[in-house]
Amino acid sequence: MRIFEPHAHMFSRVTDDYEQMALSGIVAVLEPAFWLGQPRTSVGSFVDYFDAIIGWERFRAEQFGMRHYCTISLNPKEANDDRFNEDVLRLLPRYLEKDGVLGVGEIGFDDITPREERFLAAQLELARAHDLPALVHTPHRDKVRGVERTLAIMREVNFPPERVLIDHNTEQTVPLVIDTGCTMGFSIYPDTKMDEPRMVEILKTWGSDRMVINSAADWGKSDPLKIPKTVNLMRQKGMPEHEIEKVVWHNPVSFYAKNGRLDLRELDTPVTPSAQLFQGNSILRGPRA
Amino acid sequence: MTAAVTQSTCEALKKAMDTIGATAGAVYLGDPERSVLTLAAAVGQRTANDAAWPTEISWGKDAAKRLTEVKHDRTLLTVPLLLGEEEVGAVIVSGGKHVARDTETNELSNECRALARALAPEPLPALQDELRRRIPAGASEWLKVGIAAAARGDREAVMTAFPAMGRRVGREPLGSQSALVRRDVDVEIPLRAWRLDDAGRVALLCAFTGDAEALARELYFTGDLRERCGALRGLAVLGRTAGAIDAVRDAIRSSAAELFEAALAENPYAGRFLPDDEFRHAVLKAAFVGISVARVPGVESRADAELSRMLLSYVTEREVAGRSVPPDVWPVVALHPTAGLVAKLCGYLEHPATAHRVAAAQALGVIGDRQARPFMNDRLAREDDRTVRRILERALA
Repeated sequence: MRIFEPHAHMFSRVTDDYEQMALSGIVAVLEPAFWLGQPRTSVGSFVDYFDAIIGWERFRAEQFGMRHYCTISLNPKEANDDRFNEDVLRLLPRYLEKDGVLGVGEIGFDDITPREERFLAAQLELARAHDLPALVHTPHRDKVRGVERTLAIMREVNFPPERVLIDHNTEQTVPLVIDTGCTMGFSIYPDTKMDEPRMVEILKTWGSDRMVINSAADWGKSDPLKIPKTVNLMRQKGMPEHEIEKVVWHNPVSFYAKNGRLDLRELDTPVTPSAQLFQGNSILRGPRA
Repeated sequence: MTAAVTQSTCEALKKAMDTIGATAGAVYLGDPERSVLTLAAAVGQRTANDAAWPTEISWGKDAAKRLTEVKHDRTLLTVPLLLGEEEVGAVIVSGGKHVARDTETNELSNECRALARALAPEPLPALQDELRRRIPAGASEWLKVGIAAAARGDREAVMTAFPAMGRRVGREPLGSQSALVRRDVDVEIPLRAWRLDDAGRVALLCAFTGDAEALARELYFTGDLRERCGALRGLAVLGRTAGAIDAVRDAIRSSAAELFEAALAENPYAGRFLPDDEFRHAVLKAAFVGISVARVPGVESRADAELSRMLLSYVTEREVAGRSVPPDVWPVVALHPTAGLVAKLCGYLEHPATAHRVAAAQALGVIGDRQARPFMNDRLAREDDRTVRRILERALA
């Protein structure tokens, strides 16, 4: 079964993770732009980071036959930083037109501040202007309130819900989102957010329409193999194969393919890892001809 | 080819005829849709009995069957008009006072190449024509709008269309054997390594009425890998000053083979504006990353003893490590031979791979050292490959 990992911060993972993911059936990975743990101090750090997730990470993934895509945005946490937030917003149009950029994200709320609201609305406008879907992060603290505010802002700016993926849902937020038409993401984590057994229960309760799962693997304690591990549990619990495939492939693919930016023909074409170096750098150790 | 045939065409034809002392000649241009060659210009009578040049002669339907080198006939010599590796027409000359020697037909071929360059369309219409034949109508329309905006000097429109090019016109190889021609420096820019998106991006830059060189530079530094390749190929076509050479430097510093190739292979911009030391290092790196040094424009005119030393040192390093050596370094090294080179090349004449024997024979022909003759004769007596035989025969003549 092919797996589309719709949320993993590969920038903060080692190359071995790519290899393990590929061996576990993940054929494509989407890397949303986010913060780096250590706060950035200038817009230049964003330029380098965006260039890395449209270039270097794509190259690393291809070495293991995986497609790599990304979404680009000013993340909610750093939307609060006046040293660069306006500059990053001005930078975005240039990146949103690039190949392999499938959406605007992660945007949304962290502390639910007025600045976060302003940059969420502004970036929804950018998504509309560039005909891209939006990937919305929901806060770790006061999550339900954050989801409510997100949905309210979407309505205020009249952004089509079928073009929005609301991520990091829990049992508490599903009832708020299920009837909106938004796609719902669930991040399967070792300790926090969501785990495999709870996820299977949610799918049993609410069905698999517009449901996607991800590892949200980053620099914290997380596991890039959480989708294949959840697939195992789904099978053990008797979920039919076509339902599983819908959640780990068809739902994320059809969400990002709506505007045509995700090239389905390309996705079906095997990646041939090039023997080339990237900017003088190779990740494959050992002899080369 | 649709360029108007002018007075200068006739002059160029006469110049070509003079290389072998021909008394008559004609230029024929191909019409791919009708598979005929049409008479475009003529000088003198074809034969002694005043027969006129035919206005049309049939032309191979299949491009692969067309002429690629000089064809001898009893009274006529047919020379293909080549743009890149594509035959766009032919020159037929007659009445030579003797059977032309190889050196003369080489000169004639070179003059005919110059004639093909003089008749070639400008880069923008040439690219539009290449693309029109290969991309869907919708993509053509989209590109036309972008080109019109660029022609109005709309910088923003070019900046927005540049990243979208791959999605709009495709990323597949362009598949053209032809070449663009820069009139100002009279050089060909072969299209063989270009992709569809390269052609679309360069078309936008060619159409741009502002400072296209500065724009290409900016698009390079804000672009992803494919955009950068397009910007570098744009500089090949329209770079006129050293103002964007830092983009080439950046690409050469990277080892992404695709980017390096766009900066250096078939790109005369790098060769024109890189200082000697950087140019030598770029050529060495081409050999290192597996791009033929023969694809670097200017490598022959700028080769020197230091470049020979660097390339040979690289070859030695490869040999010590038991790795293969890129054969195409030999003809370049031969331009400034170093001690021991002739002996090394004589050894490579016995290499099992044809490419090595071809390159070694070419290099020995360039050097012309008498001490190599016994080894070349010895090889020639046993050589099966036609190309190697021909090169050895020429070198020994």
